Amino acid sequence: MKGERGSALDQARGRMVIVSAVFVLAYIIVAARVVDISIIQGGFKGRDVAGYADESRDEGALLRRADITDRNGVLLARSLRTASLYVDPSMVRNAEEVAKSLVRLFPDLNYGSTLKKIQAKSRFEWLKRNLTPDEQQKVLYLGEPGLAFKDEDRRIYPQGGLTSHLVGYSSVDGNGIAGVESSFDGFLKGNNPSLALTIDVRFQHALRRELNAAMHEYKAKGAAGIVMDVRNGEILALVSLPDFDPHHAVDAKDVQKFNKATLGTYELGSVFKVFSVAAFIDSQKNPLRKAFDAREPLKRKSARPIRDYHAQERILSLPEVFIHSSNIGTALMAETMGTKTLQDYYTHFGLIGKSPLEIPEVATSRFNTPWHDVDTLSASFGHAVAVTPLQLITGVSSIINGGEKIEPTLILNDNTHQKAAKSVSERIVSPQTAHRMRQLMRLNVTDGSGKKANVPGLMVGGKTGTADKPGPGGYDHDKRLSSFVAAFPMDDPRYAVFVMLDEPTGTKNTNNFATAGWVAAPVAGEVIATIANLEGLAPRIVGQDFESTLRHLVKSEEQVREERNAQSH
Amino acid sequence: MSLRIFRISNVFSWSVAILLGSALFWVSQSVQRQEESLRRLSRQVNLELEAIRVLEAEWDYLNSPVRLETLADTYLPVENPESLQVTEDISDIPEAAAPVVPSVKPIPVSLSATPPSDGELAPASTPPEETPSENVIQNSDRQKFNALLEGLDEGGGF
Repeated sequence: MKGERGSALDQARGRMVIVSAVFVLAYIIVAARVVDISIIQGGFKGRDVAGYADESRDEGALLRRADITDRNGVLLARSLRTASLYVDPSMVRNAEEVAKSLVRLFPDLNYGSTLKKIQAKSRFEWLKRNLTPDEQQKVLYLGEPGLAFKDEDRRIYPQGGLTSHLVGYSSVDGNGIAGVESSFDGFLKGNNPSLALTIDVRFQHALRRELNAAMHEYKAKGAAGIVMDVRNGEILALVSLPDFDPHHAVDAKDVQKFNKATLGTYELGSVFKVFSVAAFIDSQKNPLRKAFDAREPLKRKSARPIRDYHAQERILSLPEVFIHSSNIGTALMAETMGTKTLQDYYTHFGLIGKSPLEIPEVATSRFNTPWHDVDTLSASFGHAVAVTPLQLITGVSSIINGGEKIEPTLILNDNTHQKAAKSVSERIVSPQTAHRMRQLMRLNVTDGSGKKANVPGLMVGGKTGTADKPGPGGYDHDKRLSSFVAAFPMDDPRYAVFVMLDEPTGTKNTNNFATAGWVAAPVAGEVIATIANLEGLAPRIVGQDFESTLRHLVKSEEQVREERNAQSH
Repeated sequence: MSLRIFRISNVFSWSVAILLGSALFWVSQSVQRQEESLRRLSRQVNLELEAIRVLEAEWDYLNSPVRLETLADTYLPVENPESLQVTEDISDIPEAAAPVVPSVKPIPVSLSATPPSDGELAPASTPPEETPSENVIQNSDRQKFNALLEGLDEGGGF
């Protein structure tokens, strides 16, 4: 009896042990799984697990295109979430009715094509992209179950057309088409916070305002301008007119979309003398003692004689060649240096090839091929060679900053890794040459063709350039490019400014002249005055010492007249 | 034997199990509630963030230089300074002619000690004393002015 009872008890105990074991096992499995989920997996992808609550935000951020800002953080482009309207045709009962009410809401929709979409066999047809919240409300009010919305990003450019050629634009599907939007498409899509450009919208506005005013006053076909920091090549403003509204880039004409400042190549004329004279000073011994016979037009075989626009018809010193913009003088310099030397200098100045700028719209300069010796003479005063305004201002900046080569850049340092090795430390002219060029450019504004660019106290220096545009069978004397390249303050340059007007016509105010000294130099002066205001640059009265070492080489009009009289007697 | 089920240890185990079970249920319910509220909050945060993004864009749109300049031209009676009107150091600006009335606060001591010589209380904006002598007025620098004040004290008849 006792044994039976004992065995029953044992049996029960045995069952209990088995049951407990099963439970213990189950709990161990559960515990192991908990450890696995919370600690092991949690440790490895902690952010994913913690982020489940921000699911929607992460999703949005992944799809969202990054902002583009100026150097001070002002938004140039940003993607905002908007609702886009689509229709599921299978859910629509009365297509005609729906189409009618939609056309009433959106007058730009076409009734026929809308109806066609609503009656389509598919289950998804876009009707209208990027609605405003107000429009969305009105559509919701229709109460049509077949109409639905999908959140989409719309690219907004708060500055409108102000930076259209730099920022560019993107398609409705969020792909960059032009400008930085295109060249940094990958970066902008890559879940990065924002991309800062070197542009300052205030400078940009000043440049655009002045160019626009001049373009209208002189009835020019177009205009372009650049402001550059001469120390590091940062582009502070870049304008090409006419421009376009990036929100409606599709409707813009080609001439609006064309970036004259980086994609246009032009024979810019006398502004090129900065390069020829710098090359001459840098390569020759005692260049200031040289004299240049500009009494007669320069005749060389197989070419038309080279004439001076402001003909002095006398023997000129080097500073006189520069400030009177003598073609003969610079051609003689080029002849002395020889083709090879001049070409080498042009290469160092970055005039041959293509500027390394971070937008796709950059052109390669054009030269006569094959290059004859006579082309060397033409090139010395800016003909037979077509460069972009960007190349010109970069070259000039490289010379006057002390002779260190700089490269133009649009992207503010340290915000992408793509810009590590941008600073090139390459000497292109000696510091002495750089100093002479600063003096010459200053002299040209105080005593020469650039007087109208002067802003008191800011030590502006510059060089004018008026070039006849090439037409069918030679140069067209009625169609001009008037340009001015300036820098300031000339004793320690910080900013370079280039302005160009395409086919300006003179007005009463300019005595019907449309040359650079009359139409382009004042624009540069206004831009410089505004920049100085914005930066709070105090005027510096350095006295007349800066350029005076060269001034004694320049004969005044009176001296010239007296000499002429003496000769004729 | 059937009573074994009510042994104290069993009762204890059962109650612990029930307690744990309901605690677990409660925890899981409140976690779900919290999750729901978290989801709602983060949805709201996202909406706010989106609204901030819109407002930022609008701010920069409204502050675009083109618009500001137009507004300034319309409503402000100021224009851009000329290049020579800018200075880095405020002391470069020469002082205007010295004011007839010293712009330094009056000295209360002299006022309470003796009334002004003409016996009337000066208006609040002018110092209590008679107009200082002419040679002092022409000096505008601080040192001279301090000398003037000292002189006035003496004249006050301490």
